[in-house]
Order: sequence, then C-alpha cells, then structure tokens
Amino acid sequence: MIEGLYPVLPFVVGALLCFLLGGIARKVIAIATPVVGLLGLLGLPYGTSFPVSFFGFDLILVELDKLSYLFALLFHIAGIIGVLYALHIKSRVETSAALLYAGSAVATVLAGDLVTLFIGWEMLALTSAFIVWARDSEKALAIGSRYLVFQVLSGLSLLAGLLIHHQAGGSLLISDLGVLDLASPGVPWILLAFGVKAGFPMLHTWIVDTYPAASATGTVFLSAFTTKTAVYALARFFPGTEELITIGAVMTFFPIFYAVIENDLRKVLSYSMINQIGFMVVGIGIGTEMAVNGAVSHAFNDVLFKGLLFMSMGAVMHVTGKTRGTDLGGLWRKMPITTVLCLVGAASISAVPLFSGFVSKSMIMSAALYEGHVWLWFLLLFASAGVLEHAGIKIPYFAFFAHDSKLEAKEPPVNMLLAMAVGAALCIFIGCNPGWLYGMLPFTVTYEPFTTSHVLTQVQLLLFASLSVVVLMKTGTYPPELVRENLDFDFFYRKGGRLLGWIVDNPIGRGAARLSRFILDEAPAKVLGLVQKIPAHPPVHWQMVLPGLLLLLALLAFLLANLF
Amino acid sequence: MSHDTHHDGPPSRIHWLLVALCAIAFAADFIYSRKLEKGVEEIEGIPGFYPVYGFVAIALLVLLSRGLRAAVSRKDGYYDD
Repeated sequence: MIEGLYPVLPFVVGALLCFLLGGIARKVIAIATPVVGLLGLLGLPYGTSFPVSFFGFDLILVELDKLSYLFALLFHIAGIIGVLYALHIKSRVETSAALLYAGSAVATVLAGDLVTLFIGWEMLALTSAFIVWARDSEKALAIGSRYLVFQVLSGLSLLAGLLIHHQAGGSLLISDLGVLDLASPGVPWILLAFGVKAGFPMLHTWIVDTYPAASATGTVFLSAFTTKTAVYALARFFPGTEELITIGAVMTFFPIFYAVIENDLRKVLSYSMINQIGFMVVGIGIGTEMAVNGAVSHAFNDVLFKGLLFMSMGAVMHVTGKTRGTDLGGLWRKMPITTVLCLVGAASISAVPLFSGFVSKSMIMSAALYEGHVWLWFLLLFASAGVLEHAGIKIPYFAFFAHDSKLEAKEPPVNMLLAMAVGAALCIFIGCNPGWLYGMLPFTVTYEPFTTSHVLTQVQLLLFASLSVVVLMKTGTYPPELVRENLDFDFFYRKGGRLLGWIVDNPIGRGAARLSRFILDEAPAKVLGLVQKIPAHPPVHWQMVLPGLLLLLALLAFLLANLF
Repeated sequence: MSHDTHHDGPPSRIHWLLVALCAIAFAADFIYSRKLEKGVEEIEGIPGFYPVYGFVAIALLVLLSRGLRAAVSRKDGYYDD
C-alpha cells in the first residue's frame, strides 16, 4: 500500500501518459495505473482526508467508510480487468478515456461532499462518451450524443438538486448527510439524477442504446462504472426509501421479456443489466441492514459476472465481427476456453449455488420476506427464473451451441482470455468463499445462505426453468431469433424528437423566418418604398434545439434554487 | 431472416440428463423436509412448489414475450429512415 496518495491521481496521470505514449510503454502504464490506484486506496485511512480548496470551495476529496471503500475497491478491480482485456487495442483515445472514466468512478464514490461528487458525476459522463465515440463511425457518433444528453441531464438534475438543497440550509458534507428525505427541498432532483444513471424505468433506454454500440473493449468499461456508481449513490443516500421497491421491482421485471426477443446478444446483456440493477434498487428500497448488504454485494458481483459475460461476447465479436444470435452458433469447438469462461459468468448471474450471484441475490430475496413483502418475493422469484433464461441459457446457447454458424473463429488474444479468467476466478472464489466479500459489507449481519433447504430449492427452480426452456424450444414455442428492431421507450423521444425537429423546422422556423423577414426587411422596405430581393433564411435544425433546451433546464434549476 | 431450426431434432443425451436431474430434484421434496421461509410457509411448503413455479414462470415469460414481439417488433433499421 502507498500512504498519502489520492487514488484518482494515478488515473489522471496514467491517462495523460497513455495519450502521449505509444507501443509497449502505453501498455505498461495502462496496467500500472489501476494497480497504483489500488495501492493508494489500501493506504487510505477511514474518515476524512484530502481537503482541498477549489475556486473558493472547500472540497473534501475522500470520505472513506465501508461503503465507499467497497465500491472503490470494486472499481479498481474492474479497472484492472478492463485494462487487461483491452491491452491489445491501438486506440489511444479509448485507452485514455477508459482510465479517466475509471478514475472518475473512483472519485465519485470516494467524494466527501456533494460538490466533489457532482464533479466526479460529470467526469463520468464526459469520459465515457469518448469511449463510445472512439469507435469512430457515424452511428457511434449519434449514439454517443444521445448517451451524453442523458448523462448531462442527470448531471444538471444533480446540480439543481444540490443547489436547492444547499439553499434550504442543507449540508453538502457527506459525513453530515445520512439518509436523504424525499420530502425535503432539492432531494427529488438528486434522486432523479441517480435514477437516470441507474436506468430507472423509462430513463433506462440509454443503457440498451449505448452498450451494444461501443467497441468490444469499450462496452466492458461502460458496463462496470456508470450504473454501479448510481447504485452506490442510492445506497448511500436513499436506503429505506419505499418508492425504490416499486421502481426496482419494475426494473427486474420488464427487461426479461425484451431479453427473450432481442437478437443482439450484447443488447440482451444490457437488458439483463437493468434487471440486475433492479434487484439492487429493491434491496436499497427495503433498506434493512441485510437488504442493503445484499444490494451492495450484488453490485459487486454484478460488475464481475456481467463484465465476464460482456467480455465473452466481446471476444466473440473480436474474432467473428458478429454479436447477433442469428449470425452466431456452434462456436464452442473453435473457442472452448471462451465458452467455459462464459458459462462461469452464466452460472454466476443465474445464482447457481457456489457461484457468486447465489448469496447476494438470496440476501435481497430473504430480506424482502423478512419485511413481509410477499408479492415482491414472488415477483423476484419470477425474475430470477427469467435471468436464467436469458443470461444463463440464451447467451451461451446462441453464441456457442445451437446450430453451427460455420463462422471462421479462434480463441481471442491471450490478454482477453486472461482478463476473462481473472473475472471467472473471482466469480467462483466469491461463490465458494462468500466470507471474503461479506466481511467487507457495510453492516454486520449473520446470514447463512448454504442451508440444505435453500440450495435444494434454488437447484429445483433452476433445473425446472431450464427444462421449461428445452420443452418450449423442442415444441417450437420459443420465439426464433429475428433481425428486427424492438421498440422501447426511446421510441417516444427518438420519433418525438423528429416531430419536434419538424415542428421547429417548419411551422416555427419558417414562421419565425417569415416574421423576421417581415419585421426586418419587408416592412422597412415598404416603409421606405424600396423594392429589393430578400434572401431566404436557412431553416433551424432541431439538433441546435437540444443545447438550448439543456440551457433552459439549467436556468429553470437556477430559478428554482433561488425560489426555495 | 430467421433461424427457427436451432432447436429441432430428437432430444440429445444432455436433455435426458436434464430430465433425470429434474426427476431427482423433484423427488427430493418428498424425501427431505425443507426448512420453510417465513411468510410464505403455506405455499412454499407444498411439495414441488419451486419446480412448478420455475417451469410455469419460464412458460409464461416466453408466451408473453411472443406477445411483446408482436407489439414492438419493427424492421431492422427502423430508426434509420
């Protein structure tokens, strides 16, 4: 461990060096960055450290307790795995952006006050957008821009919330804050900000839009940090907020249906991610010590097993260039190691006993029952079966088994295999030695997951759910994979955005142009009795409206802040 | 383009292995007296609850997903036009 080192600093320096240097030097620095960061984290004392003055603000860069330590540790591990996985790439933009992105996540969870948290929050948005854009295609540019709009909205909402909260006399220090009350001024804005990044229902579409669109390596980074930072923030400020139970339950539920019919396997995993975050949000909403422990440990596990699944699909994409179920199949003979590692991820997310998801998901579900949420329990049990269907069976089956796609394929580069192996090893290690992770959780709770009854019932559920899938496939009831676009909630703003664009372009734009032409040119010309040919004004483009809207929102937030 | 031929053919040895494991897991409910979860003892205590729930949940999930596809599926590149 290194004492007195702010763990974010290595990420900033590492990103800069990676941008400037090339070849082997960049690889060495990329790997060393999260390792040095981790050594810094291990040297941090609990409590407040690194107070700095920034434009007249007194900021506290680090407030370390069990919760922030656990997430910071997780992000360093995810950083190491991600960098290892991406060691072969040549894009300096992606490497640097990825390091800064990981550093931003660490900065956000370590933050000792809301202003520092906000800065980390915005850096997360900006740096991750560059990861999307690094793919350098017109489509990636459009998707990255849509992604950024969501992230900026989240940032603005957080800014508005903390300004209103501060104006109303609320402290900005995390050590003073504790649990935030939804009824107090500014707090709903803060929850909205967290909700956008956590993928609350109807705010979730950026996840399924962006994650399947980034590069094989980029998605592995994207999937690890943004949503889990939001889960951290919810666990810190909103445990026991009952609204989160309903929100989380909806999140566990609707994505499993989309995951059945979605063809792009990385999109299936994106829906799966919303489903898993749903479990965490439910746990935070229940708010008991066991439930929050379950939510936090599930976030930890999810980064590892979802990362592993995204890595295995990334490996398939790297060697075949394809990620759609219709294009893939039968790869296990050519990629046996990747297949096995993918199956470890599939078993972990499906909560097979002795794999990492089993204990954390059980804690959330048991906590639901302890608090008398019987219907919720039934729903979560349904969602658990759904997870097995799409992540446990569909992902490995359509990629590596099913019909032989006859694609040219081989195992991916050694660094990719190694990164997946590290992820898989952690999934099995945590699954078999839950004490390691569970000893670090925020609360001390005794929970015995490996009772015979519990293992038996989980095995029964999983076996019969699998049998059901087989029967449905054999009888031709299972929906075939199709190359189709499945409309989600983004329909409303993507089509609605065009409608807005048309309205702005045509009635408003043309009307305004006509009006201004009349006021500025025609009327004076008539008055002066002069006749002249007047050039037409160019139409207004709707893309130009978005920044304006954001500005308007910022103004609104500022006004509200002053009103309260 | 679709591949609805993924899944045909007679059951393989793996399928029969799954059936055998299911049979054992189902039988275990009648041999072993499970410790029941508080709050749902009455329904959870019925032998075969988890097997039936798991099987029916997936069947429902898939059937409802077919309905969802009918509602939301559009041609590829829908947003590009």
